[in-house]
Amino acid sequence: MLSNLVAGFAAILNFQTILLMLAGMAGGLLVGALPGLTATMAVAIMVSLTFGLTGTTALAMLLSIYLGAVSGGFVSAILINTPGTPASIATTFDGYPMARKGLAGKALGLAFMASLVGSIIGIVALVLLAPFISRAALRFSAPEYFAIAVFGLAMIIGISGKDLAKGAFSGVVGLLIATVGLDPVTGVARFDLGNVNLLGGFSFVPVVIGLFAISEALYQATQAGRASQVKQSVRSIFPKMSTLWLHKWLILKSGVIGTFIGALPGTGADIASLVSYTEAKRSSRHPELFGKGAEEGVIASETANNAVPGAAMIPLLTLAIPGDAVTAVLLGALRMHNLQPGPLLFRDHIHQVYALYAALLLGVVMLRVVGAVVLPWFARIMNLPRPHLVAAILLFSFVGSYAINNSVFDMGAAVAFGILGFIMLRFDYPVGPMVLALILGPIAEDRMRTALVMSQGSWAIFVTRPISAVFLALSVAALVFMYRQHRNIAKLERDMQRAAEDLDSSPEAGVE
Amino acid sequence: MTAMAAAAFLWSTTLPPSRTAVPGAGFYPELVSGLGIVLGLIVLGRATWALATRQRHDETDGEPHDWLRYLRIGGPIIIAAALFVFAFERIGFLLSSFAFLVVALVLLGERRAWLIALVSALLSAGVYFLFNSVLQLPLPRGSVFG
Repeated sequence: MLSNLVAGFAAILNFQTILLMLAGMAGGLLVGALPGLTATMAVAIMVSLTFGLTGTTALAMLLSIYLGAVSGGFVSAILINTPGTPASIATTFDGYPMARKGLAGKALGLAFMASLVGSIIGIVALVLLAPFISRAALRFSAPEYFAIAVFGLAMIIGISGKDLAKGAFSGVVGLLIATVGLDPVTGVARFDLGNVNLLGGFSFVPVVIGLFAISEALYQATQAGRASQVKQSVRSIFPKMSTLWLHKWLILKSGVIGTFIGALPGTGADIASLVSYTEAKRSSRHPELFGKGAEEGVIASETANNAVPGAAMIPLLTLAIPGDAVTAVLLGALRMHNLQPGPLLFRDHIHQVYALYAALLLGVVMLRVVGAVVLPWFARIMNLPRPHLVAAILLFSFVGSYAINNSVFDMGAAVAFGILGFIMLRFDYPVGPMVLALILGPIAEDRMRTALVMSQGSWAIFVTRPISAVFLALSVAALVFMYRQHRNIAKLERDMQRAAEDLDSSPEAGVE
Repeated sequence: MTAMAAAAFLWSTTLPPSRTAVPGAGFYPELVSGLGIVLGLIVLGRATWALATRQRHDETDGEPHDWLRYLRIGGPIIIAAALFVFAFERIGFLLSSFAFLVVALVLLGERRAWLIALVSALLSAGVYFLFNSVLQLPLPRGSVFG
């Protein structure tokens, strides 16, 4: 393992890769800090820009953006009570009240350090667990992969947001979109509308750019002039180590929660942070302080959500099952660079796998350095004129969707999916389930039909093989668990909203 | 969307069956679109019920949907995007992107002409340089630049 890790570092320790990782990290932090811009959007746009790079360099850069974007989300969550990414929703509960009390610098520092420790916990879990899972997965065949894909699809409910039916419906639309083009088994054209461009189906990256980047830019465009600008300034984000040491067990527990939830397909950093926050509040000696500026609230949320990127890579790399929308985009990127995730990746491309581990570990170190330099400035950058930012996002989105295949059709598809995504956002339909379904749908269909060939048409094959049966049973259990979790989180959010309203009506204000 | 799922279901039933025992090309889309119809009807039923009981409100931002505003700002931007896609390979990236950015910035509320021109020119040139020279992904030059 150690020699592989050394080889992994050797593969990424070159000028070009480090420079691109630094740029990606700074860009990711900026995207994370700006409300409305998500990690998925940033990674989706940048995938197209990595086309000319080697696979290792491209993925190192994309992972840096991912790490940076998840980490940067707390800045606006703390300073202006608006989470930069959904992963930092729980950080607003206590981060903003801390800022209102004049403790913005302390809150940012705690969040920053917690996010670093969380990232390390997630990556360590990835390095330790992935080889075992991939070895076990080598024995899987079509029925098992079908069951795993169903498990991943069942998890869509976890990223469905407030309305489970709408989330599930969004997933179904994604499954249908994935069927466009030639049937992989019989070669029959499906839903092609007589257009030759559709025979190969929709290209994944333009669809994702449309759903995440263009739709969000359109939304931001319609909000132009509406957002209130809150001026904030922060001088330093270095917390006292003694403060962190005081919360060491909470950090460890939150990191483990984030790792466990992140490793489950279909969950994500937002759920991890909310579950961790709930647990921190439940086990705290002073639960009454939560929602009013408790340090533990910020630490629990940021440790857990930053453990997710590393942990989410476990099912992605070992089973080719993305944990959330952003890892679904990363899966597309891996395939674009001729790296097919799954157990064979660990057998045939072990050096690239360890290069990814090395990129994640180096990324965490860079996060510390880059973050310390740029985060205080982002408080000012958040006041940039929105029109310029939105116009730039639109242009990058268009060109990025074109550059994948040099296809104007792809660019048109990105615009069309941007409009669809915008309408979905406006009607509270989450787009994450659709993207997850786009990735898992073809796997589910292909493996299901292959398994039925194996069993000569008998559906019993899915329940008579133990691993397949276990995953199908887990799918049902996960649906029940996620449904109950969804209700608990909705209750927590209602409580926090009430606490925030109470705080807003209090006369305290000001930040350092 | 429910109607689209229904249309997909009907279309799926017209796909030819497989000659072997394996489900044919239409089986999986039938299954998925059938599920889509059920879920669509659930969402539709709930929305109708909420309307009937006058409890419907926008859960995204607590404000009612401002469709006029969306159409007034979003509509022209979408049209500009469509024109950009149409002109992209015909007149080239530089001209089409400059024109798109000028229109987009105006629509987004920027009123300072010098800033619109500067941002549009810098962004167009910067993206062109990034793709053509740094990433080695050539963008169309169009008929104007040969």
